[in-house]
Amino acid sequence: MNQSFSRRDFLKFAGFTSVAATLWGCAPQSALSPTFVTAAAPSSSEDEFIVAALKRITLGPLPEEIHRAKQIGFKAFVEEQLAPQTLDDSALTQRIDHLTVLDMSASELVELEKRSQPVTELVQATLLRAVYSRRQLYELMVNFWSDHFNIYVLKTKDRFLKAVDDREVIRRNALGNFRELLSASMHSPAMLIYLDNASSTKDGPTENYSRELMELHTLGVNGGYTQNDVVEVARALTGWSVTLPRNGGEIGKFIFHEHTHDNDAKRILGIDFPAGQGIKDGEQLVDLLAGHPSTADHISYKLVRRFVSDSPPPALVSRASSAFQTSRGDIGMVLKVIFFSDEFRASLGLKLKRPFEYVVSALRQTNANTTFHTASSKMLRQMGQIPFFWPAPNGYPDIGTAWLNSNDLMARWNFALGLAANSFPDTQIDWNGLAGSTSPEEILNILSLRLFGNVLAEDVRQFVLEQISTITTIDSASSIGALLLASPYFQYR
Amino acid sequence: MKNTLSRRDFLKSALAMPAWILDSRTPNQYRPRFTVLAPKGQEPRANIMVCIFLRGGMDGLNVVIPHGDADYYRLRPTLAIAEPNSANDTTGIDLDGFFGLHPALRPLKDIWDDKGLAFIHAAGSPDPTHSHFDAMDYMERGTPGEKQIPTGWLARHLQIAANENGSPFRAVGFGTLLPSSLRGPVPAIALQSIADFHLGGRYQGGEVEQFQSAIFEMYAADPTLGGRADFTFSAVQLLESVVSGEYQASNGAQYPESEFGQSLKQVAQLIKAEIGLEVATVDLGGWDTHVDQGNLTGNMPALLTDLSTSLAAFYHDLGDTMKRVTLVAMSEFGRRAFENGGQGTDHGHGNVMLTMGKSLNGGKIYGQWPGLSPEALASPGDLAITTDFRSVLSELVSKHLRNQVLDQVFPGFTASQMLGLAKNT
Repeated sequence: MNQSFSRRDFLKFAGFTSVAATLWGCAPQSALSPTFVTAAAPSSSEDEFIVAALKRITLGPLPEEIHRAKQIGFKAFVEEQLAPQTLDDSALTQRIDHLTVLDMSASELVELEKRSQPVTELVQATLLRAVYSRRQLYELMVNFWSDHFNIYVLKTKDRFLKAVDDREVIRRNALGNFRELLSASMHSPAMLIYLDNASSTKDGPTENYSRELMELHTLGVNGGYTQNDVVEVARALTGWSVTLPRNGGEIGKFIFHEHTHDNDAKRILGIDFPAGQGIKDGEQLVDLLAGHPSTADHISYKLVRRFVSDSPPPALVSRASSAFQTSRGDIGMVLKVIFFSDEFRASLGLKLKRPFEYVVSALRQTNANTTFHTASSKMLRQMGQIPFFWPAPNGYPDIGTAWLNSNDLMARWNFALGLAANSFPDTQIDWNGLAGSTSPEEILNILSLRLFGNVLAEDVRQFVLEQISTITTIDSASSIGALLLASPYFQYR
Repeated sequence: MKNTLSRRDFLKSALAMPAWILDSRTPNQYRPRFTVLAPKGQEPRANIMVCIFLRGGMDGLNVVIPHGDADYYRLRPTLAIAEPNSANDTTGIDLDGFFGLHPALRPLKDIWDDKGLAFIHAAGSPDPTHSHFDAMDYMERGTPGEKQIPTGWLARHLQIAANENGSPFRAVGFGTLLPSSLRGPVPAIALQSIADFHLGGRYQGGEVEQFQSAIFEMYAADPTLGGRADFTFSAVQLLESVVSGEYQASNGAQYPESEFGQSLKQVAQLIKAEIGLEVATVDLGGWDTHVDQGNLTGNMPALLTDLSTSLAAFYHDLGDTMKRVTLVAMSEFGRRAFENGGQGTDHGHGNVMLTMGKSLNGGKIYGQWPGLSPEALASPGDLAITTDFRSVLSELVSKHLRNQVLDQVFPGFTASQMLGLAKNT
């Protein structure tokens, strides 16, 4: 592809850089990262690839992230993101330090005077991390697994326990090993309550968790299990429960009740589970399900759908599944097969953002200063994707057409217009600082680079400038920002 | 999505101009291009179908209870609803000597007596899946066991019934996502709140309109999003022209504040606005009662209260307009005939379907009761299905919506006979 960037333009940009940097430097709390880098247009096809790829593997790339990837190369950038603990996240820490529920145990959460606090703060933390964390791929995978192992926070005690699941199941294992993740989820009090296993006993086994464990979490609906397997898995997991006050000790912890466990022999997916195994039934089950080829296929299919296409290319799914199996469920290895594939490269820019991705990318790429206190998450609620509020165990839909409707579009446009006008009390954008100019033409170029990673074609530029020329309620930078955020071009990743 | 070209055009190429820039006829200000079928007070108006999906697998055996079947009480020692006793309002409400209503459905009893309510018991989808997602998918496609046909049954009806109704409000799905029954070539509106369904913000004068027009034109060139944006603006414009002020329900009807109640209230508002509505869908979820289902109070009775008070308000609010409106409620499957150890029920098969309206032969329970004896149950202990849900819907589509092309609405299915549920209207 040709550059639409002339030398003259480039010089102009070089001129803005210092102004922008100065303004940003002065604005308190506005810099997302200590190392500020100005947005710059791609100067090679590899650079273009990096810009487009980063829209996929981050929740909206910042100039410094694009700069870093250009500097060290895409592969090294992915490796860096796959080792999140090596990325300094102190800027995020400052933003979420005041949220006290994040480190609390189940019993501390239950005792909070304000019963809504665990959910409110967990949702807030999730959004703040998505926007301000440098560990972007990690946050995307947290988002992926939160859907895969979906827990609805309004299900009874899950309003307290989901915060623990988020910390000890999802976040602990998001880029680790699938077997460990699955095992952690099977032991998660929040999950055992959400899917009713906590009350499943040998005298009355409950099939809910058993079925979803195979249908959604591991094998997939066509993964080769039968109704009889559902019954047998339910039996194997009888007695897997959660501590209550009457059990003494700390509440809301995993507990295995020997006396309610069905200790007879079972046969699951053609494999014998001998009698008398007690809790070891569950451990044998983790290995059986995590190591099953249907699980590798199912997880790979979903990862390819998330990161490549709503219609996952079968050949790529198959290669990802092989990597899953040979690496024994190493999530990073599977992601690398996906990200370094031709299919990934060919698919860039064509996947519609889900509401969560839309809102988060808008805030990241406008360098917004938000607390996600109420207003902006209310907009996410109108779009229908507030974290942890999907009631069914299958998680929020992952394909664009599921979201592409009149309610969602209207809510996105209203979000763009409200955000641009700084109408949400919990969220402010320093549009003039961001644009660093008073000339609409220059503002447009800078904001385009910031939001799209590239400049706009001339006809579109002229159109935008003409449209905003009569808007007086907000300044040029804000109104250009409103149009670009509302535009179709910002709906894709 | 095949929008590679336009996206790249937009970003890079000065050679290929997006169509909307070249087309000088594109009006700067959006203008609607549709006519509404029936202006106020003018015949004919299309009949309307309201489809309620009760997500999660509603326990039909505790909705319309077979109190005349001793096996019901044998299988549900703690969950069963007691045999009707008119002196005691915690017992079933007798309907026909064999079946009775759950006491939380008392608000519907008047409507039953008015012959505006009918049930079909032991109904459902013949596919044996016990997966929520497959069962919902099959039911909403209207093609049990078959996923090759990508459209929903309501969408196929709308496509066939394409008449002069160019209103964008032909089909409305309440909620943030459209149900798959409406997935198809006829666009449907997803709507949460009529009051919020417009572009807004603290802008002056005509600035909101200026943004709207600019957004409209930017989207016009996008092959994936363009049609939806155009459609959305059409809908907003039409809505603003017919709906104003706060809605007042008629006949003293009181909708509950629940999301479900407020959605039905807005369906009534759209119907009365004569906006061209033919099909509306509303969801009520939360029926997956594996544990602590509750028999007289608790999880399921609370849902039944929401359901019954909302439906009753809708019926009374619309009054005689219910001659043009038929409401049908279904769930992806019923629940196990016997209760489990957690005072709940696991996924089952056969279920009850509810229909409501003034062009029904109501006050009657349709279908054959297969019984709950061990040999009558479907594996692994579920109410058997004696009426395919498509038989019920076919009859409503044919008689109420006057669409006779049933083999396209429900491909591969022929109802053996009409139940006689709907009047010829």
